[in-house]
Amino acid sequence: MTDRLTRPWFSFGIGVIHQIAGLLLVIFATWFLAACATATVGFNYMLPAVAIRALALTRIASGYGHLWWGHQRLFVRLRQTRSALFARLKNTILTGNAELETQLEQDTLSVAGAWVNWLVQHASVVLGLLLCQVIIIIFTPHDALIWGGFALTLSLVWAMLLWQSYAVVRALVSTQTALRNNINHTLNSASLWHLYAQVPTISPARYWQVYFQLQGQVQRGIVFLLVLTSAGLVYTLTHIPEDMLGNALLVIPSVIFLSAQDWAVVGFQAQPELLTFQQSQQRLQQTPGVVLKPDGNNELSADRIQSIQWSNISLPFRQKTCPNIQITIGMPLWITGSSGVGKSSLLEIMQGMYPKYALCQINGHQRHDGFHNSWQLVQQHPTLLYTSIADNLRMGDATLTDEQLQQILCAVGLNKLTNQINSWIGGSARQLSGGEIKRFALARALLRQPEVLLIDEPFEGLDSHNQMRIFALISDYATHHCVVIATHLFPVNVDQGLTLNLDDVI
Amino acid sequence: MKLSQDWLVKQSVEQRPALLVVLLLQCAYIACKIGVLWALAVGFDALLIQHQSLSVETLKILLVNSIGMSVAYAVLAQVRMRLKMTYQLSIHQQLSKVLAQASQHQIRAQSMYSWQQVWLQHIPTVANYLFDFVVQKWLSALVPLVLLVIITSINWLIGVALILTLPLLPIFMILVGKGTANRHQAHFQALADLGTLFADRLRNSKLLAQFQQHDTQAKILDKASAAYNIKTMHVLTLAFVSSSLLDFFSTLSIAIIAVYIGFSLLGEIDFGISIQFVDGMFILLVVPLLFAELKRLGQLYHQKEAAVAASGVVQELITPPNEEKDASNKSVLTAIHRVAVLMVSESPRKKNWIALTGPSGAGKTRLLQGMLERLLNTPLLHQSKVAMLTQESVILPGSIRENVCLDREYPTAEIIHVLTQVGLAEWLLQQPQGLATLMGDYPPLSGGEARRLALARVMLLDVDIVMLDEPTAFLTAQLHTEISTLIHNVLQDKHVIWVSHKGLPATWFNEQWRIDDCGELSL
Repeated sequence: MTDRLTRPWFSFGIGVIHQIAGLLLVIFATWFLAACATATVGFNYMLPAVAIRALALTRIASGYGHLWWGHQRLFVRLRQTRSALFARLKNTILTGNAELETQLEQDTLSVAGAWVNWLVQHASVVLGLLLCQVIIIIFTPHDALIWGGFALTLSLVWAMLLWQSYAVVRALVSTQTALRNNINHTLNSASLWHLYAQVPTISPARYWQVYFQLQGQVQRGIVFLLVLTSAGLVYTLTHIPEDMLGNALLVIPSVIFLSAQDWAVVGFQAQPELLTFQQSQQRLQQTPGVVLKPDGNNELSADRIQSIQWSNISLPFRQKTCPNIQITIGMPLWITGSSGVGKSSLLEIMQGMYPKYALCQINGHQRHDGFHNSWQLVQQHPTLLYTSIADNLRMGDATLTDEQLQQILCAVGLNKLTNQINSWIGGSARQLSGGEIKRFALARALLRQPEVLLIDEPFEGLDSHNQMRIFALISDYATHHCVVIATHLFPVNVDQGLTLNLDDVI
Repeated sequence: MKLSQDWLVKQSVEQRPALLVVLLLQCAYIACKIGVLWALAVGFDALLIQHQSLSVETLKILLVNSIGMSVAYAVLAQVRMRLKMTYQLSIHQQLSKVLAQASQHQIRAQSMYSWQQVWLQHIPTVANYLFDFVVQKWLSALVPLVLLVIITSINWLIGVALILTLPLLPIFMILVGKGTANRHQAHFQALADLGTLFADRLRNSKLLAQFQQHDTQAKILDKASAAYNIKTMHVLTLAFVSSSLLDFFSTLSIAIIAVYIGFSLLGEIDFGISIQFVDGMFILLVVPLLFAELKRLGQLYHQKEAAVAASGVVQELITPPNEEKDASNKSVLTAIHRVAVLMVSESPRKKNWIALTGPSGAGKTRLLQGMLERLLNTPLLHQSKVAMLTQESVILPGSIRENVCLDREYPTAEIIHVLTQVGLAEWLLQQPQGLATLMGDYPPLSGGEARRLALARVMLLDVDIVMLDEPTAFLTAQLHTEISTLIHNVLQDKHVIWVSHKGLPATWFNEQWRIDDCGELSL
């Protein structure tokens, strides 16, 4: 049963019935009063009285139904929209700014809410206009033209305002981006403020102006509606044919014009929703991201990797090129250089995230380009999945036992987490410090036993004791695997062996 | 929570004159609307009962009120937006003042996203709450009251019946609403949680690709959505009862009043009060207004919740933090005193170089920040000026000239001279537009070059004291030596306080300061 009832047309139909029943109730009730006042003998008053009550009940019931099924529909759509977006982003790395994910989340909400927020509203207005036209043609044909003219003018004004608002919404998006950048740059330069003659301030006025401009468009539409309906009201009251005097039906056009002030308003009020929906849908369709191409080479799993060579390496946003790099089992490569020189980009290129930036040879064979997802890259600022500690660690291998997880946590010095592996971390749950996240991510990568391990700045933010511990762990792993470590600082008294200093070559 | 509500109340008290203007315009609009309805009832009476066209008098009332209604609405919309804008700007001004005094630590304490939300969301939310919700609250009490008086004076039976039903309304709403408010909150919480989960998985796209976890997580997300949908619909089934209540009452009263008045006119029912057509028609037309303002208040209710949350954030930001009375504060005073003594007692030519050391986390950065704030706000030491160089080099997206001069003006020759001193002459020659080259989001600078640029910025300023907070952090040992030597050479004529983890020649300094684990400074 629920299956049929969650279909779009059902909630749509109920929403429209709700609006129409309200409209009919007002028209019918007013006519009934007029008819009673002018009643001749034999006027059947029971039937209209029953009809009024029936309309009232329909209105109430469909009102509740519309709320219920409308929301049901919203949630079903939300689930579909998010699943579809997520499925489309498989193997895609989002490259937008920091707010992109939150923006996308809001966008799915706006797209899913389109049904309740503006489709039903607009459809009700259109159907209301048509229904009133039919009623007027049947009962008071002398006003048919004036209503037709009103409906047409209203539609034109609506379309014109929508067209104008479209430009405003675009301005809104661009001023919003400008304000975001303005806030970022101003606050990021806080350490420079004392050097300024005048402390730089944030300027939100332009964005707010455009925001109110959009609100103003809606208000303008409503004022238009008030003026048009008032004119219609005065016209219908003053242009009654002689033979209609005393006929209860003459109240209909006036009441219709009057009630339009209430129900036609939603058409204008829902305009921003319509435009937001349009913007959201566009963003959902053009999500900026890098699509990863899996390496898809089976040769890899057959032979153990003994050595890897990268040639023709170029670093993005840097003019100069990087020398060829070779690594072998048991000989970890240390890439050093000051921050900003391109160590992180180099590691990502080595893993094959941007295939066109380097050529990769394994065991001396030319390999296809692609993303080596069996290798592990531990990021400089790793992230945790908003889920339990255990689920975070089991990402690579779901069969790991609790003991194995506890063991690796101890190995990286996170003993305090061992007795709470089922509690959640990340997101709005428990937060770990930067150094702790680094060690956690290393543990997670090691659990997968990758043949190639790339680590970005493992020592930053760690005290010397933990630096030594991590260094020992990495060195141990490097004796039987290919390991690359990018770092600008070294634990004291370590012999790093094979080193590439990017400061020198770039 | 309590605090932010207090702040909201204070805001509505401060803004009362403005809010009253909005209320007045709203009332004018509604009064005109009632006028239109009255003229309509009188008009129908003429057309139907007296078989005449509208009298000039009625037509006048209709026209004046119709025009009045449109004008009042247009003015109201304009005034409301203007007032909101003014209010938002005033909050922004207060915030800017606090921000200018804020320490870097305070600014860093929040993510950029939450800072952006302050201007994009929170400030407008508070304005909406004041100029929409608060006004609507007054209106939804005022309008029904006035209408009831009018209706009762026309027909006391209907008036009394409505008076009896109306108090039922709040009681019903409280009964159903009490539970619903909590459940409603649970609903929004669940929606937000689900959103957080979704955004989190999007944010971790790299991680999911790395571990090939996309399909697993897709299933988890879908399952969570499905479970949430079922749970929420159970909650909402009851919650919607209270939302429908107003609709129920307003619809029912139209139906009942229409039938009652109609039957009275027909003489079918008689409670001993005769009713005229014109009065009956007016009551029928005006009854929806009785509920309209309450309904609107219900639609705006979410604004209140949002405003409480937003004001919590805004109010916290614009209330200056209390002075910290801890060891670091004492150390700041000790340090400033020492600097003053050094600068006054020694011969003016002699420049002091002070090395500040201590374990990480002891509060070296905090000490320097504290000193900077004091020195900037209380220009002691013969108006000496101070600059600080921090761990991270900030590169602005503007031109190289803007990056070096900030908002001051310097002759080009001087800028080039300074850039040459810090060893950026060759780098400058490589830039396509010279000093006018824009840095953009990916400035063409290595870590070392960025440091040199930051140093040039300080050198252009005519300052007496330079504080260095690990200016060679994140650099390799080799670059550390290079940049340190450069700093040593170019800042010979300044007083310097230098914090460094990495080794520096002791001969550069004439004074060594140490800060211990508790933040205690020993000179």
